[in-house]
Amino acid sequence: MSDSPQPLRIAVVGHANTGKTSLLQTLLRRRDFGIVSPTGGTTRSVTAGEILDEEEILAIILDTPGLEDSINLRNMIESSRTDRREDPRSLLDRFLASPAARDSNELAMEAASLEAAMNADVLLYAIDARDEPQPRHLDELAVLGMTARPLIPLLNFTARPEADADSWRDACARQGLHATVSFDAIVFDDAGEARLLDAIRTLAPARSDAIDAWRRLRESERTDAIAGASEVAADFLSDAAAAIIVTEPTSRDATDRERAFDAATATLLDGLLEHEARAMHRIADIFGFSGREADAALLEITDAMGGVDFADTASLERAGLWAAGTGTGLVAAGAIVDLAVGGISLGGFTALGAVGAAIGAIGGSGSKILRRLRGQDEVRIGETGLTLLHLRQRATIDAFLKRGHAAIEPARIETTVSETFTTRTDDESEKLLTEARGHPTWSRLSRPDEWRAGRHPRASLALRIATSLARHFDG
Amino acid sequence: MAGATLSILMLGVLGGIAGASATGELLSQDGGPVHAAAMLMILVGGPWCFILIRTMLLLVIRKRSGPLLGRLVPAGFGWMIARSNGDPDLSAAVAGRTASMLAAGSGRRLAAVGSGTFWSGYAFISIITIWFVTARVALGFGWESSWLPAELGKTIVEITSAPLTPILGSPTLEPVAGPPIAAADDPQALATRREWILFLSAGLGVYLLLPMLLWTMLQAAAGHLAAAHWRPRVRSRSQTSRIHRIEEDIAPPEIDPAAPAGDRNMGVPCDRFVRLDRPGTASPLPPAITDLEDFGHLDSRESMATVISRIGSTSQRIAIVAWLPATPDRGVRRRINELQKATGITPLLVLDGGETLRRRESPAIAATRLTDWRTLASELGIEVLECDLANLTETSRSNLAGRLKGIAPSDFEPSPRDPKTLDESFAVIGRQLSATPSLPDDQALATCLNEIARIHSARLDESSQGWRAWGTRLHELDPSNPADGLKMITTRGLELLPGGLRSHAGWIGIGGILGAAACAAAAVAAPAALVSLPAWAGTGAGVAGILKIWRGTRPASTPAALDQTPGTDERLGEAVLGAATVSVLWWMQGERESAISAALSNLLQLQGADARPPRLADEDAARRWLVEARRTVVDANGGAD
Repeated sequence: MSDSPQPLRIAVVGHANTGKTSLLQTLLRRRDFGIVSPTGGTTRSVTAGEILDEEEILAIILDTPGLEDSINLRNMIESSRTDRREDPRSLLDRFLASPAARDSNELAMEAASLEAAMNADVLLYAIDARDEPQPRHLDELAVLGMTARPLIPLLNFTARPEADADSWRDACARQGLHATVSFDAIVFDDAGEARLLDAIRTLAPARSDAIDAWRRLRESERTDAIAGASEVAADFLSDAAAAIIVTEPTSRDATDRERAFDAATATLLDGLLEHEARAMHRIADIFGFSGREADAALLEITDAMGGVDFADTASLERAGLWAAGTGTGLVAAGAIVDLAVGGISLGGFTALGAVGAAIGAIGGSGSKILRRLRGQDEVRIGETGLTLLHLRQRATIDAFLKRGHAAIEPARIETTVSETFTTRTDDESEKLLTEARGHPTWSRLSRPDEWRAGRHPRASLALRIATSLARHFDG
Repeated sequence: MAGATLSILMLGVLGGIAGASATGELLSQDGGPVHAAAMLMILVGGPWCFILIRTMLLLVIRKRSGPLLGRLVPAGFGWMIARSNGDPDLSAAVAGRTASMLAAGSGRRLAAVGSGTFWSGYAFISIITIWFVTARVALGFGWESSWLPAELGKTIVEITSAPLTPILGSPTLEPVAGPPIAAADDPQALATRREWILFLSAGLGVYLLLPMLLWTMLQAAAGHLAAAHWRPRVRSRSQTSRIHRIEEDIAPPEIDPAAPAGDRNMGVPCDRFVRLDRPGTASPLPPAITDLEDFGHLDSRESMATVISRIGSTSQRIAIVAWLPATPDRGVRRRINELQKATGITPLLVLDGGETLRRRESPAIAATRLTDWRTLASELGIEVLECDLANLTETSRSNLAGRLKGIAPSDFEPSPRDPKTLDESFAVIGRQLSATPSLPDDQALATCLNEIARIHSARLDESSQGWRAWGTRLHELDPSNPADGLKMITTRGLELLPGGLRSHAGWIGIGGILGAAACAAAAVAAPAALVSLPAWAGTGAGVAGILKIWRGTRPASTPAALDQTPGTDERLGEAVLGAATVSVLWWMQGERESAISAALSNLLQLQGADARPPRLADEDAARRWLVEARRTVVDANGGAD
């Protein structure tokens, strides 16, 4: 016989349509749990969801049918009382054995809920905080009180403006229930879940190990998801920052050049949109959602930058390295030759070395010069646009972090250009993104054929950006 | 990365210090010989034992190794920071970052490189220390030690030196004493000492330094390759939950309706009413209901008993004022049924709270809830009337009063509207499209809207009293000054805007035009023109007023590239949508608020997924859109053509 304790059993009970199944979907991180419907009485049986750590069952959460007819239920239970001092639990036993509690009968669903509640360690009483406390709720609490199980009133939908949590706290306190917890199944909040687990821990101290393990499991899931999503976002942002679209060669005619510029800009923006959508889908997947669950506002990037940039970070770096290394050597060699010939060369070799150094320094920009001569432009995303994309990636991760698995409406990513002027990015990723500038081969957008993930500096940069992004969500 | 490199170098230095200390200690024998076998065992075996134990730990408790390391190491770092710095935030941050690093494969690889560097430094400095010390002191060497018998020591030396033959040749490795027993310059002793030094150095090099260097380089190369082949992590999530059904679905119980379907007693007036789950915070009931006898609530067993005991048998009906946002569940159904059985006559079910429902739920959920109530009423054979008691229009007020008096609904239900006036309005828009290419201009739009208002003004009920005080003030507005008008509407109506609409770009877009339209309408139509509009129409206008004013007052310093002013196609779309919306609103005069909502929703369905005004490139596109809009609205309103 195994010595391992039975898993913690939690029964989610309450009136119909208070979000019991939604609550389980969010606690289990499972969209496929049960059926959520605006029509009451959709849940017509007790279904269990298990929280697993590897193969160990930490907790079993029971979804129960709604207590739809609590007035009748209480009436029927209490009407069987023969002695004022009778144990309430025996009243429940008597009710469960009665014909009314049997399948297809008047209160069969309520009986199933009560049976699940009687066998649970803790009850979560789901409340739609948008409703006003009504006498039927008091009937439900009175009946659930007869199970002699610890009960936590759980205020659902508290993120909605119509929610009146205070009224409910007051109403529950009047029933002697003071450990009310707010936890919105739609708008997820880590702190809310932590409060709920704390409350369960308080009421079921013997199962504190399982609850601690449950909490650690969720924390590690969150850390992993943030790390993964940050990597996807960093990968996309690196692509966006590095992207350069070269316009088609044109005549010197201004209209032709403008048209070519517009075409390249459109290519860039289309590519950005496509890659952003792909990144959004992948981030959604990491958090256990589908890509259809994010709905981004129209991307307002209108500040594509044009012109051949000779001063981007990469070009300057290449020129600097040449000047500091080989270039200096060439000048020094020229000077030595000048000295060796006793000055007859009049410093000509030194000058020659300097010319060589200069050619070498700008040599890396040869293709840029060639483009200039051909009348081509380079189109890349502007700083504001890059900041906007950065904020949107952050907003996407944030939206999924705050999304309960019961949410139906897509998460709206509403970040707009105006926010780029007012929102601080707070992390170093902005700075890091400038390092990708001038490396068109680092971007799938500009050189899809030449692009290789196997570029160590690009990978290293993306990882640094990812670390910086992830830091934003820490804590 | 610089931080990681520095940390690895630091580990190498620390390893070197550890190697120097250990070797120095083992070479210091107070004149006695160095126990070579024991020394090699300790210097080489020690690190390997450590590595072996760590590996075994990882293998044996593999399942727990991640969390174990993941908890201990970050906690250790956090503790150290907290001790030295006293900053709990910094401590937590360091612990968090370390945990993240360890959780990642790159972090574990970095840790392996660090470990390899430590032991490489240890081995390298141990070799250097042997040479450094023996260069200064002539040491004796032997097999045995206090804990290692001479025979065993000899065997260990022989076994370990055998693979080193290519480096050492065939050394004799006999014991040799240090001075004064064996002279420091004795050639024989010198040669033997050299052999021992070479043996120890080669042993450390082959058995520790080389494997460690190889391991470190392999890990570093693997790290480099991993970075080179880096792809963002999109791992399939391991399932942390499981679902299983405990029992089969329970069939919902049948409730025997008190009255046969079809016999709804529609012609019987109501003389009393009860409330069913109507919240105390709901708006006061209108006189049409409070004029009836109040039988209280139907929300507990005590109140039900009271109502049923009072009700007796009567020839008149009872009105049940129910709360539409509540779910019509079995409990509700049973209470209504019991009341019906007690009275012996079918009640009238008045569904209040429609606006609350629409505000808090999506249109789909609101529609489902309404259908559920209607289904319940139909199954119980009772008459139902959806009537938002907080926002009654003239029509819905008289409809409610009529039903309570027992006047059959067929006398009230309006027949499908004649689309004539709507067509005339759309024709005005069409004419404006042809005549003034500048329709998007506010002045042209105002002219267009004035014409539309005139078409509908003949049907307006001049005697109606406004349900919103602010609405009655609209006629005081100066139509020539739309900006002031918009500001006024904003001030008065903003707080009335339902939350759900605040975030709906479509409503805001329409509202912008409604703001201008309201000003224009005030010049030609009586306030009654706005009386039957739902509150949100005006308040939507208020919000959009802000939008419009804001657009008109963008600071000059705003970069042109970021200007969000819509393009010509969008402005034309916005103007046509606005004019069409106003036409539909006025055409729908006198309808219930829910019907007006539905008509506008249908109009909005014509927009794209982003719920913005349509983009209409030219007059033809605008005309096509108007045709489609007309068809959608008229079809939804009964399809009278």
